[in-house]
Amino acid sequence: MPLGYWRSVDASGNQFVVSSFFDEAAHAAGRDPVEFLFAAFGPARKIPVGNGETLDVGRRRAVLELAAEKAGRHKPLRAGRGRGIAAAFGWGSYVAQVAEVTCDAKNGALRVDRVVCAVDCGTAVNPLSVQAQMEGAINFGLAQALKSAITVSGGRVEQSNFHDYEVLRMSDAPPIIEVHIVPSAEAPGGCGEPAGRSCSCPRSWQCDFGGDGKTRPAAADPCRRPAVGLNELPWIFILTGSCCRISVCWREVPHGH
Amino acid sequence: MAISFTLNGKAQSVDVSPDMPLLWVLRDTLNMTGTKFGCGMALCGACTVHINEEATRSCITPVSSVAGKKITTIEGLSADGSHPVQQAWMEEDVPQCGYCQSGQIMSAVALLSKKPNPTDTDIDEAMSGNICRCGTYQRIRKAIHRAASMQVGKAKSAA
Repeated sequence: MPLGYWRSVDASGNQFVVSSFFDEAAHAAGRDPVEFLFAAFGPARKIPVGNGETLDVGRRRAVLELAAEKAGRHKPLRAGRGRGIAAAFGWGSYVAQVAEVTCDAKNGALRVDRVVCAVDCGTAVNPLSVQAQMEGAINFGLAQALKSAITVSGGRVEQSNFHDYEVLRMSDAPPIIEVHIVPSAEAPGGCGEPAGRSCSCPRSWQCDFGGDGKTRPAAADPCRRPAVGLNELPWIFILTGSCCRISVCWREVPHGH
Repeated sequence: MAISFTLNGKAQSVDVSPDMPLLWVLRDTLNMTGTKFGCGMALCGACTVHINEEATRSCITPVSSVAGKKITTIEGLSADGSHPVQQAWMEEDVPQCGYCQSGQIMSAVALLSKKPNPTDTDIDEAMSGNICRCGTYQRIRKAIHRAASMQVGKAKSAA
């Protein structure tokens, strides 16, 4: 499969595959996706993952729990609205997100109403910047999920400007993004991409829109939108990719700080 | 041929090709670089200025079309960043990279001049022509609401 690079590099693709698998497995097993993820993560422990990195399962569990709790995951949603969760680890940071999405039953258009993000990036050197990076990355990721696509034909990119490469605009932006930063004294991790590129690449949407318990992954075609004509939105899987811009929390201090 | 207009409250005359986009007259001829080039096709809003108080994309506006008109750029909002919208932007920590923000602010000022207390729907409608690739939309919304309440407060204290 030919690969191109963009924000979060290979992490988004890998996360998609892994997370899709778990999400499908949870649906196939008829299990709550959050409980299924907890079971899959297993108990708190530290696992070396190469390149000198260690996966701290306890921290991973904690962000998942925090995001799920803050999102009120047991609260019922009205018809036509769904909720999805995903968790990611990368470059020393742990992220989990819950998104609430409304689907227009007539045309299948999606609107993300709320995203709840929990992040453990170790020591948050500049928490305001961490929050801003998470918000921005979520919006960036949603653009990929909802609108943007780059296609290549004959070795050339076919898009040329914002008329044929659409990005997120104000009217598409979730009214609410909540960012919860886990207090930590661990070494600082990355914050540029774990949340956003994360929350939503087009390949990441996997929806049980039919209400029949069958997810319909859009994995085969990175540019495919979720199926239309949907009445119900149980769980929407949202890829929480991983990060690659290391330690953005101190290198990319936003204007005004 | 000289083309005359009012720029940020002062008479201005430029001798340039009449089809030169206003954006480039501002940036290259007059060296006012607060207004940004984004897409060149009126798709992104980075070049937004006010022409007779209407938010307008300067990248596709031939300078000849603004003869005799009043133009306001980001530099003209205030001398010291004290315009309520600029203040609200600072208080909400809106910008990340900042590139789109002068266009965002100009669109927001135009919105507030027409609708002093806009709803989220009003904001969506007025601001959807301005792209922010950093994704500061939620903060822009908050800042517009904050600026609206600041302006209301100002009007009350003046009354």
